[in-house]
Amino acid sequence: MTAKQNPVIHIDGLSKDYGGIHALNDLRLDVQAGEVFGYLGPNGAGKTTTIRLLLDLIRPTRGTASIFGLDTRRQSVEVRQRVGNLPGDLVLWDHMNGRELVEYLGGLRGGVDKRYVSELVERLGIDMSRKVKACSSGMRRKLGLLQALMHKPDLLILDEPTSGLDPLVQQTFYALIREIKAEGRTVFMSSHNLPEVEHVCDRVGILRSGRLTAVERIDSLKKVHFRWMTLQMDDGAQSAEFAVLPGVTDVMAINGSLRFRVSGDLDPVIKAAARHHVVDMAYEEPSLEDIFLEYYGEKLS
Amino acid sequence: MTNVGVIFKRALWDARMGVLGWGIGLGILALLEMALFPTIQQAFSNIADLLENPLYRAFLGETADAAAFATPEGYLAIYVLAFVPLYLAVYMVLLGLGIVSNDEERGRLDVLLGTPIPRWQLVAEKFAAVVVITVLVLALNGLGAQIGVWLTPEMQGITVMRMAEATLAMLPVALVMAAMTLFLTSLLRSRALAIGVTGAIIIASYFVNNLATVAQDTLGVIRQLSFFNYFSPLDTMRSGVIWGDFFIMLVIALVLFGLSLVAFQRRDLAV
Repeated sequence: MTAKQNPVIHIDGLSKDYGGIHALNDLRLDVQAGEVFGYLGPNGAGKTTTIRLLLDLIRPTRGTASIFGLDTRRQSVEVRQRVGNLPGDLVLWDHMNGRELVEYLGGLRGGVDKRYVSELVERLGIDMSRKVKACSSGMRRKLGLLQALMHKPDLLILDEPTSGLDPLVQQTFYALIREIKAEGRTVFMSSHNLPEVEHVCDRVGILRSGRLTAVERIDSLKKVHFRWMTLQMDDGAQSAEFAVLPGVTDVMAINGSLRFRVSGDLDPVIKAAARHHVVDMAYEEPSLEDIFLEYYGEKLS
Repeated sequence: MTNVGVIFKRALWDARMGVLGWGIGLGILALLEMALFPTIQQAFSNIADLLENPLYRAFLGETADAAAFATPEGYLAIYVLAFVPLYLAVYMVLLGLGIVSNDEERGRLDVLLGTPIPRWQLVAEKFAAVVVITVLVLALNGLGAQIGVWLTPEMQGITVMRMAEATLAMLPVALVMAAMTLFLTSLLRSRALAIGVTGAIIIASYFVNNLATVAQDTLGVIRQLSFFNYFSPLDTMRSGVIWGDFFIMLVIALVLFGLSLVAFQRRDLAV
């Protein structure tokens, strides 16, 4: 059988209600082996609920899920044996230092390679002697990553993994994810950071109000990915000049600047701007909502 | 399983300062109380009248026996066996909260139960640690009382064996209090509610049991529901551990522990 026929994560009609509120509604999703899957959505969309259901921390109202073919409820211990987990709202034991934390959680996990722990500590820049209560939020997040990665799990489930990390450590994290993917291991990570997902994920699922509204390959999304660009030029550049460029729409002249939407390749815009004296340039990522409205707008039209 | 005992050892290590603080504190208190026996014995004629007052009986129950109070056994029954479980109630509730509630309320269970341990193992290992911690605290308390006995000639009638039995007799009472807290936090998820309900049950049990000694007709039946009914300080000091009551209390603690496992296994963990 191929990996395609045996998804690492198989979710079938998973739902979670809290009173009358549907936190997660009829989720159906497969994540394949060796895949880095981005799970996107605004706060409250149901991302953390999904992750907590997969780890058997909460129980579904309806539906089932399996990881490596193991039922996440009945065989949750076996599932967690093969999973590394980073909670979104990570809280660690204030009175422990990094070494004690690794000893405690490593003891519960078993099979932790000390050399790999040392390598991760070095790469992530963790001070293992400092007590958690004395650590910054970024350092705590790094400790969280360490405990999720240290046993080389077959599946990583990460909830907002780079939240609070400085840009340098984010780059280390992306490199680690690429290595994990290269080893054929699987990553399921929630995020509301689109550039991050673009950077490391193969596919992305979008959750809105507890419903999975889309599952797409990142490549497909990139085709409709646009940015807002604002150019301030002091030599009388006209909006018409930019409006005709491929991928440029919605050109507006505002207070002597040109603001427009640009999709796909940036090269024509850069070349056109290079013919003028550019005083300033601003470049805004669209919100996730914008991307998907755009994407599904195009699909519907 | 390779991870058996990890949580148990960690829970014991984390409790070391609490064990020393409570154990040594109670031990010193017991030692001082034993040393005060001759002084209190001299003032016994005044105290004997007080003990007839129903208000005092409500506090002391069957141990408010004027004749017994003048003896080393009766004195020790009040100052060690009757009062220590009350002092310890605070610590036992804290230990009960430490089994799941502290980690859950602070959000650490998502990390802990993200590891491959079943929920029952977490609860069982932490409860086992509570048993050991309680034994250690009670042993330090008993040691303090025994040193006090050795230092006080008037207390010489108390043997080491009887002191050991008195110490052992308090174990199930203490465990019931911790197990009740564990059960309520497993069931209700609310730490504040569990503290409130456990505290109310402990206080109600204590006073119902003691008041029943002066209001047998009205409280006699209700007294059966009080877990202090199965703990008799004076009888323990006179004739050793009352094994029937000892095992009833132990069974209550184990049933509460078992119900906690079931309740915790079935419910969602709080975010």
